[in-house]
Amino acid sequence: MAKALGVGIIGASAERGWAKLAHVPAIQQVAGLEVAAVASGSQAKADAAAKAFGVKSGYADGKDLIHDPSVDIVTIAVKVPDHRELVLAALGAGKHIYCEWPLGRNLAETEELARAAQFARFTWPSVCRRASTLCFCGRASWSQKLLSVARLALAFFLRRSPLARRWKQPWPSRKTRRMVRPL
Amino acid sequence: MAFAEDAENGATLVTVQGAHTIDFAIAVLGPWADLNALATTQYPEVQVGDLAKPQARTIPDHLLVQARGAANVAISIEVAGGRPPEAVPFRIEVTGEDGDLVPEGGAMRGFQSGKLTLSLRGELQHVDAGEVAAMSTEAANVAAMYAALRTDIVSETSTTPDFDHAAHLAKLIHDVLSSARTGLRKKAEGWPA
Repeated sequence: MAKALGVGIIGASAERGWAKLAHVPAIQQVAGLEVAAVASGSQAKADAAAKAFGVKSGYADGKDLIHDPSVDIVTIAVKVPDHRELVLAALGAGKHIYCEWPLGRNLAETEELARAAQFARFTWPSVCRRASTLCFCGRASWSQKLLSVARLALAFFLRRSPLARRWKQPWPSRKTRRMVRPL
Repeated sequence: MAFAEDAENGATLVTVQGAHTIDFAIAVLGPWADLNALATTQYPEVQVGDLAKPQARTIPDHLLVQARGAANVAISIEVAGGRPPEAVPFRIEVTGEDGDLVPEGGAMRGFQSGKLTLSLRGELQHVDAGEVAAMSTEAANVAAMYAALRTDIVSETSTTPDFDHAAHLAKLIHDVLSSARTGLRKKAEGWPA
């Protein structure tokens, strides 16, 4: 496999929090990814997190992490009011982003960040093939597979209902229906 | 958590657990045509912070949403806060002409931070979660997200939810809060497809 993609986590604490509980073990166990850097509220906290998670670089400032060349994906796991500044910085640096939901504090801020992402996608097409992979922890924060099975099962057993006729998804193929039948 | 008690911070029961739940319903059942909502405060005084100081709650801790999906399908959602960490069930019942489909789960931070099971006509279904099957309850869904993101980057696909989707969901939540405030039914405009 090609070189692992480096993930930089902004908001990682050695002591507690969602990054320690979920992000770090997830990245460590998904093939093709590695934790490349962490950022925390102070240099001491960042160093402690880097040591605890076996990571080379710890930063007191999330913006320094964003510009670390070993970071391909910037994970933003800080409080919502701090999302905007970091998201804009990561977009400006042409990095992939995994931002925790909610993306912004309100509708206006979320729309602003969505526009900024569209602009980044348009501005940096060579840097940002990546731009289509900007994401947030919302819709996919459960097993994608469970979701797809649920969808297929629904499409199958609601096949004669009005819902199925108005189903927005393409109708499952014969082959797909066979896959679903054991349900 | 004092942070989640201030609507200005953008992370309340409605915008976090409410949005994840509605997003799940839309992902499974398709887009909505309209909705109305009731957001209330069932626990008007709470103790927050390390000192557990009592304070008046200023945010809704209970959400009811009635929505109409494709082909007039009726959808009813309740998101209830103020529950002890060990009693936070998540359950969606989809009733079709051939039986019920029930995704179930529940976790302290919301169902999105736990694992789900799927039952069809009362029978538990086996779902192969692939490379995240062996992971901890908290890490599994985040890992599925990272795996999808990795594949998107390597294969130049686009399966992970993007910022545009975030904006559509934020608009829907904005309309949920507006409906709860005014009592008026809101029609779909800029909501997730």
